[in-house]
Amino acid sequence: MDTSKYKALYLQETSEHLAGIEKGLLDLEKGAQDDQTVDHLFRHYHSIKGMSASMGYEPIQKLAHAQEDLLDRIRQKRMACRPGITAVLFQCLDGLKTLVRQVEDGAPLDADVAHFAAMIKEIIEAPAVAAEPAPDKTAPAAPSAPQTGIPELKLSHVMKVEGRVFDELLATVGDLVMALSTFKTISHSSRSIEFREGTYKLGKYINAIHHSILSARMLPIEDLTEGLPRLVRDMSHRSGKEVELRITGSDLRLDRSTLEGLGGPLVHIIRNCVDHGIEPVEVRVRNGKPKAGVITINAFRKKDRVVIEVADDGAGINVSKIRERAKASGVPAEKLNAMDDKEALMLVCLPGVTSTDAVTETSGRGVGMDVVKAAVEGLGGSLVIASTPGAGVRLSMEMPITTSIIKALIVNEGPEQFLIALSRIERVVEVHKGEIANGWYATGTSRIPVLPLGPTLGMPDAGEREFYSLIIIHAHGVTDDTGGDAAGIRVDAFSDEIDAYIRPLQPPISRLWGVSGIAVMGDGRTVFLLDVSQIGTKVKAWS
Amino acid sequence: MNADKLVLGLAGLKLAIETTEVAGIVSVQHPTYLPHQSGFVSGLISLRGEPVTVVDVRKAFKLQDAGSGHMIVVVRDSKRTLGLDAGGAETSFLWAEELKKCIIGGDGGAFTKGTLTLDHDSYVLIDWRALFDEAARLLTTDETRV
Repeated sequence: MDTSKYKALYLQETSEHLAGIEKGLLDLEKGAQDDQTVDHLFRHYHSIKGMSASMGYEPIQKLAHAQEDLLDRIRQKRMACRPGITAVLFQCLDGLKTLVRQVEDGAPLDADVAHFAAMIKEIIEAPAVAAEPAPDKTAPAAPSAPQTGIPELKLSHVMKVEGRVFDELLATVGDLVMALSTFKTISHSSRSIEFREGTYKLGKYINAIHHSILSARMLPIEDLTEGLPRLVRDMSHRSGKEVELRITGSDLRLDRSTLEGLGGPLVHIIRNCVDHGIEPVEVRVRNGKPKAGVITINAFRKKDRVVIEVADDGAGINVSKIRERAKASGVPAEKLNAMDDKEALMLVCLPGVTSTDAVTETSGRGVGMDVVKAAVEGLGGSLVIASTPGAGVRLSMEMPITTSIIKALIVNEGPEQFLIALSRIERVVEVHKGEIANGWYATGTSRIPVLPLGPTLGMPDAGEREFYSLIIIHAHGVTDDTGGDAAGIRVDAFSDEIDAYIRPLQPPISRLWGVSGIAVMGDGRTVFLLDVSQIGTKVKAWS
Repeated sequence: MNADKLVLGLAGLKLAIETTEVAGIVSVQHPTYLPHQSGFVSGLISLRGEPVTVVDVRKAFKLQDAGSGHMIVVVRDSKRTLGLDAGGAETSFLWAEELKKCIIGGDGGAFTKGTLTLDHDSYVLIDWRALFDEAARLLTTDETRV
C-alpha cells in the first residue's frame, strides 16, 4: 500500500504525541506519578506505535513499543516509577524524535534502536531495590542535535489549520477577484500603460494565491468513501443480502466543502441501494443474477466538473409506482402525463414519494432523496437518475471541482445581467430575430431549439429586438435536429468574460429556479450565475 | 419592547424596527431581479459584499407608493438577513426613554409584532422574520421542489 500520501498526517499527529510525551515525562520527573499522567503517557506511546506500524516505520514502532511496555508495567503497578527511569525515557524520546525527523527528511531510519531497547530492558529486569540506573552516556545522540548540547527547537513542517481559516481566505480572495474584475474593465479603456501593467500583475498574483488556497482545500474523494465499505458490510449483514462495493476514481480531488456536503447524500444513496435496490439472494438467483449484488461508485472528470456515479445492479425503480405516489401526494395528473419516464423518475426527489413498499430502519419513508437533491444542487451540482427495470439504478451527481471562482460570461437581458460559466458554453452567435423561427435556430445543416432567457426567468417583457445573442449550450434531455443535445439560450447581448467568485444561494433565495449561485461585483451589484442544467430542462418544453 | 426603534414614515403609517437589528441603510437605483420574483419580493442587493434579499415594505403593508427610489434598511439576526425597501420613507427614532411612556398594543396586522402608542401617535412594530419566511415561500416554485 502506498502510504506516502499519509506522511504529512503521520508527522503532524506524531509531533503532537511527542510533545505530549515530553510534557508527561517532565510531570513524572517532578513527582506527578498519578494514574492519569502515566495513562496519558502510555496512550501517546501506544498511538505512535500503531501509526508507525501502519506506515511501515519499523524502528519507530519498536522503540515506541519498548517504552510503552515500560509504562504499561508502571501503569499496572507491576513496577514502581523509580527515579532515573524518566532520564532513560527522555533519552529514548530523543531517539524517537531523531527517527521521526529522519522520516520528515526522507532519510533512512538508521538510529540504533537496539541500544535504547536494551536500556529499557535493563530497567525492567533490574531488582526493585537496585540502585537507579544512570543515564547511558553511550546512547546514540540525535544526529541533527547541535554539538553544543543545547536541544534544537524545531517546528514541524506540517501545520494544523482549521478549515474555517481556508474558507475565510478563499472568501477574501473571491472579493479580491471581483474587485480585480472592475480594474480589468477600466483598464480595457485606459490609455495608461502603468495602470494596465499594474492590473495585469495584480491579476497574476491574485491567481497565484487563489490556486494555492484551492490546492490546500482539495481532498481526494476516497476521504469520503473510505467509510462506505464498513457501512455496506453492516447493512448487508443486517438485511441478509450479499452486497459487494466497488469504488473507482476515488483519487480524484474535490473542494473540501463540496466533499463535506456530499457525505450525507452519498450515505443515503448507498442505504437506498442496499435496502431497496439490491434484491434478496433468493430473488436474484431466481432472476438469473449472481447471488451478490454490486454497488459501484465511479468518479470521473467531465471538463471542469467531477461526476460521481452510484449504480446498483438491483431491481430498478418502478416508474409507474412513482407516478402513482406522486399523484397521491398532490402532483396534478396533467403534469404527470406530460412527463416522460426520465422526468418522472426525478419525482422520487419529492418529499414523501418513494417507490418502495418496505420501510426499513434506515430508508423507505420517502424522506431523503429530496434532501439529497437539495444538497447536491446547493453545492452547485446536478443530480440525474436513470433506471432500467430489473437491471438497476444509476444516480449521477455532477459536481463543480471548486465552488468558488469560475470563468464566466456576462450576458444582458433587459436591465439585468447574468453570468454563464464558460465551461458550459459551446459557442456564442449573434442572430437576427428572423433567424429564430418557432423556437428553433437553423445553424448550417441542422436546427437547435432556442429558449429566450427573460420569459424563462419570469422577467417582464422587454419588447422585441432586431438582434439577439444565442448562447449555445449542451442540455440534458434535449435533442436537436442531428440527434445531439445542443440548445440555445437567447439573450439580448453578451459582454465581458470575467473571473467570478460565486457564493452559494442562502435562504430565502436558496431554492430559486434557474440560478445556482451569486457574485457580488466590484461595484456592489449582485449578478446571478445561471443554472444551465436546470434551464436546459425547459428547452424541450419551450421548443 | 423598550429598546430604541428606527421609525419609517410611509404613507401615514409609522413602522418601527429595533435599532439593534439594523445592519445598515443603503440606497440603490434598483435591486437585482430575482428569477420568478412575485408578491412583495423586490430583488437583491449587497451590503458590505454580502447578498441581501429585499422585500418591498410598501407592498407588504399594502401602502400607496411612498415616493421613488429605494432606501433599503437591512435587518439582521444570527440566522437571517433581510432588506426592507422603504422607498422614499422618512426616518426618525423612538428612544428608550420615550418608549417607557408608550402604550403597548396587541395585533397590528400581518407581519407585525404589535403596536405602540405615544402622544396619540401609533407605531406598528415590523415582524421582519415573518416577512423573511414569507419571502422564502414566495421564492420557492414547484420546480425547485422537484
